[in-house]
Amino acid sequence: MDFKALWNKQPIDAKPDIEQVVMKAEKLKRIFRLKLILLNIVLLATIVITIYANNIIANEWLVSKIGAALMLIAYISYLVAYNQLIPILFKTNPEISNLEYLNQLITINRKSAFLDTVMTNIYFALLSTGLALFLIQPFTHMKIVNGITLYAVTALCMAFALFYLKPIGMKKRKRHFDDLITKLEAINGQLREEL
Amino acid sequence: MAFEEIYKTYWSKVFRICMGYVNDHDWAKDIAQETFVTIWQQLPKFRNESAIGTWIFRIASNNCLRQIERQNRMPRSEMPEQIAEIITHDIEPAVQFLYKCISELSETDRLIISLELEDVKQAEIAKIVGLKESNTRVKIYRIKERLAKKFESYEH
Repeated sequence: MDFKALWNKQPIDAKPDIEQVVMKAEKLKRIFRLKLILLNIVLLATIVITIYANNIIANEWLVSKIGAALMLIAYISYLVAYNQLIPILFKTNPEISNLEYLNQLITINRKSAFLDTVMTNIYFALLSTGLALFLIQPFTHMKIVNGITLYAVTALCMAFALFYLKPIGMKKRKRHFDDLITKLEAINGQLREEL
Repeated sequence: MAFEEIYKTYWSKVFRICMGYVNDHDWAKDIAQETFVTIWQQLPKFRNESAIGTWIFRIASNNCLRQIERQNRMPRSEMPEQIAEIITHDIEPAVQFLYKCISELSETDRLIISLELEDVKQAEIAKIVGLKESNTRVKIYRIKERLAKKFESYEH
């Protein structure tokens, strides 16, 4: 059987206009970069607001200051981790051999999965502790009913994020990374099979 | 080598390799496009003109491997038969069968046999895939044997 002759009989789709294709690819890259900049702006604005609020309230208590500092550390660490995570997604070098490329993809996905899990947990732990400490001083200046309402609403919001949004998002992303790593390792295994 | 020339010479080769991997015309066209976008972007940095083919096939085969991230696409071989029929009715049945058989192989075997059928030297295939040349030779032999067996049962 002449496989080569059959192979070459495959009808070929017409070549697309490559300049248009490149333009589209560049546009997608720009949109992605814009999203990254927006997230940075939102988090930086949050940091500024937290510092501003801390100054206005004129916290005298050490716990409130610690609370504000913890919240700031949460935002900043998330920002730093996120900004480090994104570039490694683009660092793949398509010119290396398939075996090296697969290893590179596996490493990138493992790093992404680790950063995602660890950073999300650190972010939420710092944020909720910081917020709880930060609110102690305002609580003492409020009427007891107002104070309890403030804590209850804040706790409810945090609980919603912590026990509903976070597990759903993390579970979904973890499944995605696990699936991908398993499949990539399986393909990698094909190249390591004993002949 | 200018991009236009590369595009003209290698489009059909890259397209066929992608077809061997996914056995889906639209999907193969997408991967081939992605490959040429990378080539367009990386070409100014590329110096080793003598190995341009190996370089292009490396990018193409790595792009094929990366398709694992696009899980929402349904592999051609898993499509309901009726739909598959409508799309491919004008392709010679033996050609269809060959590409179907190749797309059912393991991912790396698909790439190895596609490169072999594209007349890439075995030493080059070994470099592209990252295997020893002797291992590549054995793999090609075994894949061809499997394809021949499948064709035997197809013809009878």
